[in-house]
Amino acid sequence: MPQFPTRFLLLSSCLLMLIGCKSVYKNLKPAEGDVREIKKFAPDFTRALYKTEVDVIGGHHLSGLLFIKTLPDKSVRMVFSNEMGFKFFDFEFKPDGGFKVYYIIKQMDKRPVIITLQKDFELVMMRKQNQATGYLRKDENFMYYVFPQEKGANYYITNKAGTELIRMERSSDRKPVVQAIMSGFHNGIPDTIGISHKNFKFNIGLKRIEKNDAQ
Amino acid sequence: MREMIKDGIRFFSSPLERGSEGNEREEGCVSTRDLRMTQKHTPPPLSRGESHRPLLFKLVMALMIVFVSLNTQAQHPGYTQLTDLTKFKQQFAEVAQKTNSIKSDFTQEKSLSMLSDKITSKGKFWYHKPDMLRMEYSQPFSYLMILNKDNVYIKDGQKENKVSTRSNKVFKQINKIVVDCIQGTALNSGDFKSAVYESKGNYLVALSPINKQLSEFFKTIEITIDKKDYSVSTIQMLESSGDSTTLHFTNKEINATIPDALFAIK
Repeated sequence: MPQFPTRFLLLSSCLLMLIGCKSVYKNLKPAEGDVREIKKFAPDFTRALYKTEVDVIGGHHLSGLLFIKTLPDKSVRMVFSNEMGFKFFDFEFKPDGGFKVYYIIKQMDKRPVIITLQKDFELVMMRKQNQATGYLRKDENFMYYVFPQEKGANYYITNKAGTELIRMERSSDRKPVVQAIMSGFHNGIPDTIGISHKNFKFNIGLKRIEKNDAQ
Repeated sequence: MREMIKDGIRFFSSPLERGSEGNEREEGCVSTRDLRMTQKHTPPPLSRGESHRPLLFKLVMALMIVFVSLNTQAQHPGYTQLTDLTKFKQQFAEVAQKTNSIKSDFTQEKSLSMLSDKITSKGKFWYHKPDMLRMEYSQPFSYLMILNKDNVYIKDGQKENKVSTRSNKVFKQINKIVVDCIQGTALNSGDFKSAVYESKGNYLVALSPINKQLSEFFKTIEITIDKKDYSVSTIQMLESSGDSTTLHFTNKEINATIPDALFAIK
């Protein structure tokens, strides 16, 4: 039986791979309801200024101000600068789902960086939610509002009753790539937003500066 | 992909250190540069027998009118350009030399032209010759920045950060601009092409960066100087996008005693 060890190895590694590839969402069960319900948690950034903290690989820390405003044509502009006014980027999220870079400093002007930021904020802003392909799932504790994307899906996780938004996830087919939270809504604008990447260190924390003070 | 993102986001630690080739916008993203592209047009061919001279003459005249009006009126209403800078430079340098320290309040206005909005912040400003600067923002957020020679200290809420200028060149550049503007060295630094204008009560120094790194961030930097005491009252940094950041200095105290401890980086 000289072949046995090889076969055994092959078989066991295949098994391991299968276990490794198992989706964390696999045990979710179908649920009844309307996926459109999640829209009630969608932030309405009429005008908001956030103190922003960014932590990146290598222990680097960056702080600044993120200004978000909805323009009369319903597009949402997002400008990130440091406290002294030095601008890092200026993005536009159009009402038709389009995205435009008005400005980005040369050092950040790289496709993966722009796409990462775009997708992260689209998750939080609850864009790219196709009602036709969206569906509901549940487990013992939570409801999952799932919106398939070009790659993977965006998950919005609420309590069972659907009254509280627990977290948001941008996921590959198997596991979350990004987790985000949003809380403390005042007139549709959240006080706190947190975005955290699972595969590498890239965390964004936003804390709202009161509107009255910011003007 | 992961490596690319890692590589891409390392800018955070050293925004000005890394260069990238090409500014081409990737697929799916549109650059404003494309939108603002000036339309080049070819003049219609001259008809047979038409002389070149009148056309050229008209063109030169038109261009001259445009240039003159741009330089004096349109750009800086109420100001006329100084042709002889010797006196101004001399007086400004004299005052700058006598200025050992400045203590002032400041208001910072970030104007976002396309958003028709402003972000205003306020704080206190201390400067001591030759390269010590403290800017303490108190409204609407608290943020402290101390520049002492080659070191930058940042206190951002509860977070403290000591940065060597090597790893944070953005601060170094901004601080250098502020210091150069206050000391008047920007006029002769070689980093800028300068033009000086005067009105009844003020001088206005317009600096256009020659340095490629700087010109990526600022189209011009305009410094308003009070004729009364040759002190800087505003510094406005204009970006090519039309956005700008303006620092207004009020309650200025020249040569007030400033404790060294204010610039100490622990």
